[in-house]
Amino acid sequence: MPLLEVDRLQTHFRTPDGVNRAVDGVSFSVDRGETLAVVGESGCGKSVTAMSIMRLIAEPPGKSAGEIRFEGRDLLKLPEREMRKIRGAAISMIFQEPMTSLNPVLKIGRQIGESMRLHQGLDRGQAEAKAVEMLTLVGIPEPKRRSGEYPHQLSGGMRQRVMIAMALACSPKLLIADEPTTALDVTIQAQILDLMRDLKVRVGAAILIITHDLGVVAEVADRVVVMYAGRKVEEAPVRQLFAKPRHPYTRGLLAAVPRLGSSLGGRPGRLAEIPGIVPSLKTKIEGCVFASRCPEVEEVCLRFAPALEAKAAGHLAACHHAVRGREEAA
Amino acid sequence: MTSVILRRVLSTIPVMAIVALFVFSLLYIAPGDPAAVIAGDQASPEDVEKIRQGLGLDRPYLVRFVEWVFQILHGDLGTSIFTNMPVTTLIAQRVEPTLSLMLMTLVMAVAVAVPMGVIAAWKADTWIDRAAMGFAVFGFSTPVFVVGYLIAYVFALKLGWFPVQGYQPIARGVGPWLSSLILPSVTLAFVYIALIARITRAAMLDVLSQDYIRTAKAKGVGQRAILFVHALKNAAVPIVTVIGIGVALLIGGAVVTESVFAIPGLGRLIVDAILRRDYPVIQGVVLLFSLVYVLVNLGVDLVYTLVDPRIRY
Amino acid sequence: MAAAISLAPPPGLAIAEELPDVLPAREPLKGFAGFIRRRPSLAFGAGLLVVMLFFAVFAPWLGTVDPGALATSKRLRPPSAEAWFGTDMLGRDLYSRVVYGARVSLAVGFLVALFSSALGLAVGLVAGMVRWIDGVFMRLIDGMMSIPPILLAVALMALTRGSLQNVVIAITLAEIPRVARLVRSVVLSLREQPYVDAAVAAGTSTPMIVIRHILPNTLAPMTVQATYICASAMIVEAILSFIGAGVPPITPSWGNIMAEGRALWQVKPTLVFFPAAFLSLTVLAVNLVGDGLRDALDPRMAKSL
Repeated sequence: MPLLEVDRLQTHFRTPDGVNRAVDGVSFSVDRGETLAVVGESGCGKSVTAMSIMRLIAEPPGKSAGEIRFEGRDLLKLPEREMRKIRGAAISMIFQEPMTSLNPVLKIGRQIGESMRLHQGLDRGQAEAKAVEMLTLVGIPEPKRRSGEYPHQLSGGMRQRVMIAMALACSPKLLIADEPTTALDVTIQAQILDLMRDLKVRVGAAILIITHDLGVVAEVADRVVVMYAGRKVEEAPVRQLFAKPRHPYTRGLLAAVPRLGSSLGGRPGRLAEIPGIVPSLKTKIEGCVFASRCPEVEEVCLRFAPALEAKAAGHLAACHHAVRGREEAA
Repeated sequence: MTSVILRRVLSTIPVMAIVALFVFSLLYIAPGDPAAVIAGDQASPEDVEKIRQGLGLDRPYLVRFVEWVFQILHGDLGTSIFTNMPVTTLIAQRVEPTLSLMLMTLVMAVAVAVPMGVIAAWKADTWIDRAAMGFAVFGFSTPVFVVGYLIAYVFALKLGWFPVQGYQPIARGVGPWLSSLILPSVTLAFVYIALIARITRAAMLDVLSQDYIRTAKAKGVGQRAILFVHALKNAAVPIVTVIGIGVALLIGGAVVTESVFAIPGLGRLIVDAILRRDYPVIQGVVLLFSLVYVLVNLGVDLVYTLVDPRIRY
Repeated sequence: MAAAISLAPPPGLAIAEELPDVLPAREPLKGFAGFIRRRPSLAFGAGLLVVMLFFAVFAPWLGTVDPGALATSKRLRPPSAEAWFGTDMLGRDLYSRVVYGARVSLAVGFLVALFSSALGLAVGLVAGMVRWIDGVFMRLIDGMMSIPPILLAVALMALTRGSLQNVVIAITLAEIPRVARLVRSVVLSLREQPYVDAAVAAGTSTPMIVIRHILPNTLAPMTVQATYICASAMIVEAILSFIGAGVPPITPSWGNIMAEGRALWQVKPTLVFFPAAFLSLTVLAVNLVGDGLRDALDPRMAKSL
């Protein structure tokens, strides 16, 4: 049994001008100890997916449907009380903005110790001591002094380390990292990724990493889910995805990555881009969601939404063209 | 740190100087002849002249102002035209009821308004929120004395739970003192609660949308701790500010409340002084209340440093 | 129709299953009903205000008699078909007095809002645009704002004869610092804007900058604040009348009617109740309009006001 199974997750929001189908029928699973990356452009629903797993979608205006099974239990059906016991303990989360994700008026040590007091029943003194340990673990110098400081006294990279310490405090089984390096300097990005990889092994957690950065994907992921306009369009082991992307959108994404030497899509030295814009999610889309921007669009694509189909072992893609491509090859 | 606090304390001096200048200058900017107005319609020209001299209106403005400031600095707020008693004596007799009323109101209002605003923000856009904010708008829209009569009518006249009017000094026992203060305090608290609850809700809504609240939720922190540990402390600066600013409302309201409930405090003193056109008394009470207001807001500024580690003077 | 095009899919084509809607579709509200649903408090407040204005404007034709007409034989009558709200201790018709009272309260409210906005705007603009004046003005304003507004008005009223004009002057004077502060803060934040910087760099004259860039942007927050000032001025007027420092007792203002009814409120609560209800409803209407305008004009401002 996988650790986490997301099954036909839909998360919609009511807005003044219609229902926004931010996530519309996304399924994937995460195994124990595995690192799964969810990639896509901003607005594709990847962060909403993460928030839905944590059940942190404000309701109203949002609402989730489908199933999110964590160790066999459907999180969407748990009472809030039970869900609270899971958050920060079995599943924890790191956010994109280290500058704003820490509470400015509470001391670092207290913020790290809080989840241990909540979930492991430690008293204040024990929790503070554990917090100092965690700070040491994430490589913060002078952990004792730092734990008595406030977030504004720390740099961005340090704060993200604090966030990681906080997330790992209760040795979670699943760590959800939503763009953990996006707001950081490039040099610090690498340090943070190294730290996450290192700690993942030590704690034995699975990681669900949300990112738009394919460089990060290549660095840390075992498997990759590609999302577009609220749907999953492709899923594959990381090497296979980079070597042989099946969905035209994934090919476009890879081509858009600046790279030295060879490039997959565009001409060398030139950065390819995907023409067009992401369709509005406030109206129901007939046919394939990517049809409006797809270079290989055909008439059937405009009429029938493609189902996800296995292309190769563990490699799924939702594209009529890719499916027929297989038949032709056979 | 201490030098910084000292600087903040010293900065109240120019503010008070301007208050004094303003209160003093009212005698000169008021349209018409204040001496004639104060003397009344039946006064003889000699009476008017006597009052003019008493107020110092016959001497040059600046000379008189400097004299007056020196007097104040020596603790002399002048003499009542009506009773011929020193204004400081009159004020001293009236401080206790007003102070009791305002402190009781302050405690009561903060105890009600802050949780009310917090809950309204938590339950934003539900009927609980709408009821709380409806109450707040209503509180803003009803003059203090109307609230006072309504409350007195129900709880004193009809139900007989509390005395209709009057004040019992604390020296006569805490029980009677409290019971004589409850209705006036509730009355006075009404608009103050409306003000604080509204700002608390707005500040909390702002804070609750912040990233660090999401972080706290992701840690599994419960709703109550989110609201009162993670959010409220961040919302404290605007809330404390409005509590300080609202003291102006409280002072204005006390004047009226004391009239409704026949409490012999500073408010009554000033109302009686208006009816007798006893300007030195009015001047003294206005100065005193302004000083209280300035000091409260000085205190508020100092509280900032306690609630928000980012603020350092 | 879509059915005409949606032919059977080609064989072998894998089609994604249709998922149900999570949230039921809802028709967007349009027109007048939509306005009421979206901004109920603004609609209610505006409606109520129109009713009160109607009372004020058409007072003589609304079944009223002379509000000052004494009839000692008909003192303290309860509400009846003849005197709808009853009569007061001098036998005057309470309904007529209350309806005419709308004129005083609304006049005070609107005049104070108008004058304090105009003067506050002038002070705030000068303070915001001219640096050396700013320091002096802000000190003065801080001082003035340290005097509780009701006390300031009371002190002024004690030195003048009670008249509608003096009441308006007294309350206006007490409200100016608030407007000036608001305008100044808007001006200061606008001056940081790149387009204002650009205009200054391009050599645009200060009055031109004020007219083109500053004034249009101060209008929205000032309108909202003016409604709040209007509401608070009506309350202050009533309070001044109530403590005997307001318009002359002969004027039928709501504050005066209540002040006169005060002595008898324990036995004749209607004497206080009717003017109080009219006053509260009017102030409520203005406050609701203010809240509605604030939400409609600028949601961010909701926090600062």
